[in-house]
Amino acid sequence: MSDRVRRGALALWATAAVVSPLHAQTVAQLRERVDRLSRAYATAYVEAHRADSVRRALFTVPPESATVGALHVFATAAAIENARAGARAAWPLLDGTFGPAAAMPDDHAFFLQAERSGETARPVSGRTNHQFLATNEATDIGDRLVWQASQVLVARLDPALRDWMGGAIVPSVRLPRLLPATYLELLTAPSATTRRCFAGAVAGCRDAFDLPPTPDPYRRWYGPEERRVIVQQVVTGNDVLSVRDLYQQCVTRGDDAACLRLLQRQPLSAIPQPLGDPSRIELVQLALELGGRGAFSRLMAARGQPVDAQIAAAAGMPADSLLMVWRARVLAARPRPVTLNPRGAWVALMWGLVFGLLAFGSTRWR
Amino acid sequence: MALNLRRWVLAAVAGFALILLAYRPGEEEARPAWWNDRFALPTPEQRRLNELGSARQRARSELFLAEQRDTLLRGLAIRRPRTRIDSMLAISSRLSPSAGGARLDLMFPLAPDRRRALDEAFASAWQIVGPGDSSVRVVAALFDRYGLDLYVLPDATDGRTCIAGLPLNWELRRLVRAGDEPPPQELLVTFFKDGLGPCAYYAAFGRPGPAIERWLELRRFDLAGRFDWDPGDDSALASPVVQAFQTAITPQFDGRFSASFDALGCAAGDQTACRKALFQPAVGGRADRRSLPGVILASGRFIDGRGFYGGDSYLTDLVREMGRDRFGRFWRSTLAPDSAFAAAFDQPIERWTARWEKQRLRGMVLRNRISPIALLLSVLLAAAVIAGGTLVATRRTVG
Repeated sequence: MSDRVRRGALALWATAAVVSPLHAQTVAQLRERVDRLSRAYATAYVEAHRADSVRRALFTVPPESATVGALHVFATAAAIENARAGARAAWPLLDGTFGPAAAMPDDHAFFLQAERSGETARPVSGRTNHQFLATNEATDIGDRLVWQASQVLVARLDPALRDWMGGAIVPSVRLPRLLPATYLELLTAPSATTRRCFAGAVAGCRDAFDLPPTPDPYRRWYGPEERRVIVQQVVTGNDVLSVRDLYQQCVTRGDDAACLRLLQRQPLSAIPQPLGDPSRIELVQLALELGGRGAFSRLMAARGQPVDAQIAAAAGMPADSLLMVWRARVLAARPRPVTLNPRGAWVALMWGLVFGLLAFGSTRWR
Repeated sequence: MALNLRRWVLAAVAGFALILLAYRPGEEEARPAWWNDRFALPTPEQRRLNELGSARQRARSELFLAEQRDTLLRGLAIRRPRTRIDSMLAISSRLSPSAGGARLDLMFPLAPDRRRALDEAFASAWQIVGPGDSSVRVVAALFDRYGLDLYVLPDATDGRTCIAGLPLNWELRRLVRAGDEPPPQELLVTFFKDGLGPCAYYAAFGRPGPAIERWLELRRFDLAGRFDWDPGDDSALASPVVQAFQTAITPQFDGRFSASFDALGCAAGDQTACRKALFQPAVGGRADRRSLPGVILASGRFIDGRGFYGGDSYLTDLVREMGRDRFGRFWRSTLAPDSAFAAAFDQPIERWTARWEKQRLRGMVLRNRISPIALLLSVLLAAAVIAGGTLVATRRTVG
């Protein structure tokens, strides 16, 4: 190669190097990259979903069944024994509370998906499938079955009754433990109705339960002073600004009419009940218990009647008598007062001292 | 008595042994036969989908930053070098004596008197910067909208301009709100002191050494959040007292509890924690997200996670304490940040950082400080409560 050619090539290279574009991330390049990645993402999304479907199909197996009473449970082979044991525990509870009506879910399949199980059972054709999730343990499966079947049964009750209860009737062996809590509620609720109920006035119990339901039950539940306090509890934050004048009249000047108007603007569920939903459900459960095996069927048959009449029909006795039985049970469940003996007091102090001394040696940051 | 004591000691030892046995870490509980992780583990296709999703998110962030950068450059009529020859020209212009300086650009219309007030505030702040490198020019671009501060460093502009894109904050929006009194001059100056960020440092001390620049860029220049190294201004020294008072009356706004555990450990004298807080900040992957060379989005603690308490004043406190000359040596050093620090200030960076953070935390208790008298009082109080409770319980009948 001659010198002239070599010099020419060098000059060409130098020019190209000087005018060549700098490597930088321009918006156009980045936009192109985002587009490219978005396209790749869309393709990968389809592939991932296809792979998921294949895997799901791979691990979906024909179900095995276990039937106890009218309860039909379906599960994989790995979970069927526990499902059977769970159904055995669940059925007596359902049968005991709902009686012959418990047989209604006969056309329903309770379909267990065991948590963390690699396999899943295929749904059963010809039945209404209710899938429920539980750990593969008989106790958990039993509890979930009771809950699931109760939902199916309670859904057949009158909507007005369900609204009044605010929840489902779920049979449980632990129910008697709730009575002491109801005792405390009856004793401490800031309402004249519960105080009257506690003292033995059946009308007080009716009012505390809002039986039959009325549009503005807080008129019966609470006096002007209590309504003012409730307004302060339920109307807070920015809500105050939207009703500033009414709020001032109610809270600052104690105008009860303003408080009532403010409470009327609130959803009923926001206003605290003297006896809450658990107590209401407890009352219906008591009616079912006192009414015997046909109680739940009667409760369903009374659909459309006033709520108190429905409950009375289930219990097979007047609503007032039922309320008195309920009251007697609650009063009998009075919690045992905590007694503190001198030794207990000294032990408490000693432990306080021990932990205090131990705290000397601890560091705040670990 | 001796026998009794021995029994007590033996009983205590046996009790501790039982507790130890009960709580000793055991082997992993055997899983039942039906337990299966197959559904919990992602398929290779899902893993690929996740990786692509992350890559797309990163690319979108970079695109966002590039768009922001270009919008700023276009609005300010600054041209990025496109070819090597442009780059060479930029270098030669950077070497010219008139390359430095500062400019304030408003991206919205403003009444002349208010514009004048802003110019004066900017000039006051610039006086504090005291530009020491005439090759760096600073442009502050103000926007009449809410958003995050954006910095475009010289490498990402024309090679000599550092841009601070600053949205007006709530108080400064009084400038543009019709009928509102303009904010006081002091507030305007503070806005620039808190806003110019890395650009102030570039102007005052020139371009940092490559390792230091990389370190700060990875941290999104959070340590250079503000500048206030005017030795005549002692507001920074007085502020701890004011802050302590404010903390006492409004404890819910006490930002000290938002410092990272590494920063707190550092203040307590743990050198390893200092290193981690300085060089491996657990700030939600600052380096991974929204990173485009030379473009810094100051998204703040809310997005980036926790760092040093008062971290935005780290470098300004360093300048104030060590002086501009020594700081300049550190800033421009070609060594790694810790070596550069030791060389410039004759002490390890961890030690200075620990002392600085402790000072910033204004006497926050970093160790157990229960006094014997407090323990005694608490036991007495407990005794009184138990006695009082017993008395009331025995006299009251319920139901």
